[in-house]
Amino acid sequence: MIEIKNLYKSYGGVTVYENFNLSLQEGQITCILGESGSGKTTLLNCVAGLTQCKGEIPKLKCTYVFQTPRLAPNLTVLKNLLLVCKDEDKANSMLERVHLKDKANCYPAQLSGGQAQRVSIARAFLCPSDIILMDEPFSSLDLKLKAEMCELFFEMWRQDNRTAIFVTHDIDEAATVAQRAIVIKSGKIVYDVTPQSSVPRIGDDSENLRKDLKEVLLNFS
Amino acid sequence: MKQFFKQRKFNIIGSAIAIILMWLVWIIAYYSVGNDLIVPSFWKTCASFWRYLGSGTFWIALLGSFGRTMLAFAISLIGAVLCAVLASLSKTVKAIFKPIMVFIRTLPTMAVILIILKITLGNKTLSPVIVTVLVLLPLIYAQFIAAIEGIDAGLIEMCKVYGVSKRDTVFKVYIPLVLPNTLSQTGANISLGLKVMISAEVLVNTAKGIGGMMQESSIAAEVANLAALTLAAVILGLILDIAFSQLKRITDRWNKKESTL
Repeated sequence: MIEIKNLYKSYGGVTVYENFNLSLQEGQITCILGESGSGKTTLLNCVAGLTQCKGEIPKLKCTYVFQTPRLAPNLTVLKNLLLVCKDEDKANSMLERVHLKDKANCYPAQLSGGQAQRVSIARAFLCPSDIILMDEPFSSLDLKLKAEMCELFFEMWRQDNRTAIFVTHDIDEAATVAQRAIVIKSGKIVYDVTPQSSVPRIGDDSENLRKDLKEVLLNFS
Repeated sequence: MKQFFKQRKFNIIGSAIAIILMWLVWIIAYYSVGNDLIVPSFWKTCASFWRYLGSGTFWIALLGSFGRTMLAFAISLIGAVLCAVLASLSKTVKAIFKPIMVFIRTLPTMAVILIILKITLGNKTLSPVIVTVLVLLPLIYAQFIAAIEGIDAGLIEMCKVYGVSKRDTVFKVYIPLVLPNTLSQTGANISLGLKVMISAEVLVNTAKGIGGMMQESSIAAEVANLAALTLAAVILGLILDIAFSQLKRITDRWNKKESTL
């Protein structure tokens, strides 16, 4: 169990979190939803140690898939992976897994948005970590690409069942990937559900969760 | 590729038109003034320039000015990089450097040349170097600060989360990302340095320097020689500007888009 206790975070006098508690089941994908400004990214940044906060947050080795790929433009795809993991064989096999072996020597500017985000996912799974943080990683992609990326994410995740926090504002995305779904509003958990159906949830399987999430988000916005 | 050659052709035509226009201005000024001691004839200047090209004294002076400019540039570059790195590491250091750099930048060049000449006990080689450093240092420092501040903060956050070593963050992320902006300005910085260097040499009458030769020509009222030396300085500045602007090509390949996408 990964436990965050009494989290307190404020920005310039505005309190984002106060006495916020969250327990995460290891090996589970926890989806966090909420409207813009509800503190979803702040929570990830607190866990990753990117922002200073008060409270008990366990020191975790994190990997992070950001909204934008955040690849070094001066390094090739392979060298971007080698920046975070020195094992070239592992990096090459990871590129194979995300179907980008032929782009190993390309620079990020030579990749499409989807390809760049695939590199970012490869980087997150390449590095050993206690938790993978995903901050609306597919928000800038079109529907088809989004579905492809979700599929790829599961393909990768199944290999090591790593604990993941998946932040999104897309109900469909959450209904597909969440083993547990949490809705945050003004720094408080207003909805927390652990559906029994297995992920990835497709078609009718995701319908109930989708409906619930929609209702909660509409009621609390 | 076709686009590249089209752009190149366009640049060459533009440069040719600019040269013809400047030449016309010279010819018009020459005939309007009608006095060889004020505006020299174009052809006399060309003849004088040609004579200089065959003179050892001219080449020694040109190399002297060029060498001193490069020395001043190197000192400024090292100093500016060190100051910019320190300033980016500490806000306090940055706050201290800010007024110092503003002070150095606003110093009146001509007055400083004379003061430094006194301080260096009349050293006519050293004072132009110091003055050029004083002009270039704050300029390069500001360019480096802007380049460092322009680095994507998200990329640095990524390095922090993934535990990328400080060494790799500096050498594989910071320096390569600062380079494109700074390399593209190197040519302009060096040609500005050359301009300041020659001005300082004129004022202190540096031996074995283009500025010193200009001063001698001016005293002897050899206006054609003076114009020829100016032409030589302009050509050297242009060559340096063009040569160093090619450095930017090193970093351009990072941003090349694949045509198949």
